[in-house]
Amino acid sequence: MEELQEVKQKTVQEEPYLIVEDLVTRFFTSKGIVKALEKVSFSVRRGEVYGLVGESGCGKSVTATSIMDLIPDPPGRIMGGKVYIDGFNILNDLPKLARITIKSETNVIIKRNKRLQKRHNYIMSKIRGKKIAMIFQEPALALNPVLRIGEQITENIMLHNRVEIAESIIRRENLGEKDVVDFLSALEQYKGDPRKFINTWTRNNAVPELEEPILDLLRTDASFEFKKSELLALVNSQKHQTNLGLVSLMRDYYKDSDALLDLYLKLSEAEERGEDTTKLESQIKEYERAIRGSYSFLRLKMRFLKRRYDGIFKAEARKRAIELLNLVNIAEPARIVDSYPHELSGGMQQRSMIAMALASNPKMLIADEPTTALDVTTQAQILDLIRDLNKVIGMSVLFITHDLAVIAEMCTRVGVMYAGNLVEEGPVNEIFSKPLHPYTSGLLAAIPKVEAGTRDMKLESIQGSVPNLIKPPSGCRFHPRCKFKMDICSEQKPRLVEISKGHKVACFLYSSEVA
Amino acid sequence: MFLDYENDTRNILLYVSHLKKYFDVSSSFLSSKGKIKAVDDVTFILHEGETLGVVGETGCGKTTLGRTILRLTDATDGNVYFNLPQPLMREIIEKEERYHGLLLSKDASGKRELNELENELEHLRAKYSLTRARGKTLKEFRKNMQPIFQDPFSSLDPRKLIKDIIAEPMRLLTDLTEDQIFEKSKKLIDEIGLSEDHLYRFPHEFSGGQRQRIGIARAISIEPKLLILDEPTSALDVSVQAQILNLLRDLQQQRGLSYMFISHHLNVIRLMSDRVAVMYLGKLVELANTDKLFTNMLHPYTKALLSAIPSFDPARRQSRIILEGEIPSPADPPKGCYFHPRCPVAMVNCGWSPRDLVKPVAAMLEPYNNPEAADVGEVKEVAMDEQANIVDIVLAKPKFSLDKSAELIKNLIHKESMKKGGVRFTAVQKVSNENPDTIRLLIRNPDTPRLIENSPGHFVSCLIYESKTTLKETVRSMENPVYAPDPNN
Repeated sequence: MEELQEVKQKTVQEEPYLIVEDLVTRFFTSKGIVKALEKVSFSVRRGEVYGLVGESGCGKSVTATSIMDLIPDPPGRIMGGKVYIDGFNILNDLPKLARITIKSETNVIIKRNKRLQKRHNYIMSKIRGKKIAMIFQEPALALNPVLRIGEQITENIMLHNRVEIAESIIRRENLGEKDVVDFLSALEQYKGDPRKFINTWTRNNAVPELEEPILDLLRTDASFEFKKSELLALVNSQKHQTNLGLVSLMRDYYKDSDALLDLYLKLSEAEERGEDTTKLESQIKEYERAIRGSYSFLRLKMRFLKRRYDGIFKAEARKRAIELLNLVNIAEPARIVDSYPHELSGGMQQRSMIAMALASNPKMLIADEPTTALDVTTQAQILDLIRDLNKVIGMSVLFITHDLAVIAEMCTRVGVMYAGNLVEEGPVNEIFSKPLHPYTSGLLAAIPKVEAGTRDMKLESIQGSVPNLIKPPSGCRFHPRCKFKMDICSEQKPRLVEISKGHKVACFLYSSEVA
Repeated sequence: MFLDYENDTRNILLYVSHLKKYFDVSSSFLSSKGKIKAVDDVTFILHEGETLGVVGETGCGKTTLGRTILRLTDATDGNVYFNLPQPLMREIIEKEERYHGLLLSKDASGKRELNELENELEHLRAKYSLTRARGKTLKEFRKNMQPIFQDPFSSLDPRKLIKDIIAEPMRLLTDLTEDQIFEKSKKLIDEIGLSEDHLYRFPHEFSGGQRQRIGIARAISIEPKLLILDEPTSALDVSVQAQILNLLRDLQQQRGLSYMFISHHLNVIRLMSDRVAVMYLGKLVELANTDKLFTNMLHPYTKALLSAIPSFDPARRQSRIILEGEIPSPADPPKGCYFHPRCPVAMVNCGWSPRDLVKPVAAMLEPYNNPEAADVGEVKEVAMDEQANIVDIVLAKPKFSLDKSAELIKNLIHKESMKKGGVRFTAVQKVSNENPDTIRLLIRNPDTPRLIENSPGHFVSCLIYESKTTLKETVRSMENPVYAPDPNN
């Protein structure tokens, strides 16, 4: 317990974006309970690329889906642990969500609390996409084949970014002479690249189409007055005569609805701490009533005139979708936005997936084998893109792959997983230069390396194969395949212990601590 | 070309001669849209006891090549000679190569020899070529040639016991009795690292690695000489992959097998192969000894491909070549060298055609990108004719006379060709005016690279390494850019 406190304090200092603690996930199948994750703990710092590596069935993808709370239920369930995303534990209400009675391996009764489950889903639907996004191995399967790329990206924007869109529409419609004069004089004083300045301004005011005309205008040797009137005309041509009153009403409505989420998060946290929640609950009820009261007419209209009301936002979201496609280096984004997934190559599909994940400006991206289905040359392009996004936007990345060389290229820290356990964790260079766990060193020896002089060498392989997780081996799950097996290995489970700075390993060769 | 080093006395097991496999792309019941050239004029030899790695990206035709050699699909053209007596094999190779050399040279004096050769070869092909074999002869060939497939889950019959799976080729292709077959199955299952009681189980009871072992046992059961391995470890985990690769090497040493090892995984190819063939869009672009290919590769595509391998070594990461764009569609491949649109060192004659130039020319004439183009005036359209090799610039409002505009465009193209990546503009051979408002760019006819021997045993299909005259010509055309005085003007 003290140990745990210590870990907690440390993490508060460094403030990782994602903290996973003792995560346990099980699948209840007709053949028995699959112990897919057994107390997995790690954390991803802000702006860091953290790699999870392991063979198929080691639980790396289950870890990712557990973090997103997307485990298919039934048969799967998260059974315990904590997942802090940006400081909020999404598994706060886990024990209350369902009562699980395990009578035998094949006979498990789950009683779900529907009301709490609904609240949990509501909170998760707001966190997913907004705070943390995910891309998958097979872009062809992850994309919806009957919707155009643009529609799929705008869907995401419409779900999470309505307030921002409404605000930029209002700014655009209110653009007047004063703004134009301010902009032009600021531009004249601006020392750097005028393109960048113009780009920021046009984006903030939701007039991205004006970027090129403005550049053209500046190139002419016209007087300030002329430029001003031209620009004003340009700006006015962009205005859609939208009903501003309506847009700002809708903005307020969405803003207030988002505020409701904060209250729910507070409630959930208070419940976890065991505090009295009656006050918060009544506050939420009051708030909900207030929203329903003051926006009743708007809600009614939005219900029956959905298409018209969404249309205002959709046009803006589409512009942003094209911008996002541009950001992920897709050539001719204006054309691609209207194509169907099957018309694109694998690399382009994965780029569109990344664009979709970026749509709501998440601070973290979970990439689950993003390049496994792609060719080496395309893989190099996608890895380059993810690296750039990490550097430019400062996005944290949880990078999951079975390819150790990709990990070596992408990540700062790595966790090695085996049969549902994290067996080793450390900085990338250390894991590859002096691996501690026998599984890690075995895995490294088994890779055919491209460097010279390996032609005549025999590959070292790990005996046997990955165990069945319905009946996992006792003690350390790697012991049946381990070269250094000792008596204790089959009896006790080793704990993940820090051997040198930041380098942790779960093996009795290095420490006798028992989990 | 392969007999250039005749002192190589190793026995030649397989000779693939100018093999082609085209697939029809049909748009409707009767009309055909065109052809996908999955395998396009591939030639190589495989020695006894050797491993030839075939590597390339998705859609490059490596799997189709394997399937065509196995006669799992019929070839469109070309021949495959396999397991023939050595003198006969060498005679056939010599004749085929001479024939195809003459075909390409288009020399009138060789026409008679060509006809003679064709007659002789027709006889040999009908008798020995695998692509024409039928019925019993085909069965004979197949006894010595077995496939191993990528997916160990779908390549084993789920309703058969392992003993029946392993016995099937022996029952079909040999005269062994049931008892002998069973004895042999026991021996085989032991050899591949499983035990006898595994014979009485079904495929679903095994893991991926074990299933791949069973697939190998089935393939070697009839003592073939050649195994065609199509991505045998791509569906397996690293630690299991190492087991399978070790098993394959042991078997090769014990039995003197020849492998054709198809994979997209370059590290595996390096480990397993003696020689490596690199394919791009159905063509063989480079073929060399493994060490030579990985240390001293010649083709720009091979360079890019090898540099893209993820690596533990940070120094390798620094020198990475990231290719732009995507693999072109094989239904409508680029002209000349298929790789030229993505090639970082493309030259003037590498295959630039109107479709490569239409967009860049349009961009060049856009005053927003290129202020100097403002003088040309508004451009109505940039059209192309791929057949005639021309790009037409249709002017909407010419500011000057057509002659003057043509001169302006000439200068623009010259400037553009000096910029980074402006090689494609050097392919513009002539700028002329067509009435009433069109300026016509004539594009140079591209050269098509052939697979030539650059150094002993190292073949490459790239114009950079082709005969010195071509290179000279290239250099010359680079020195004489587009606005060199045109005798016709």
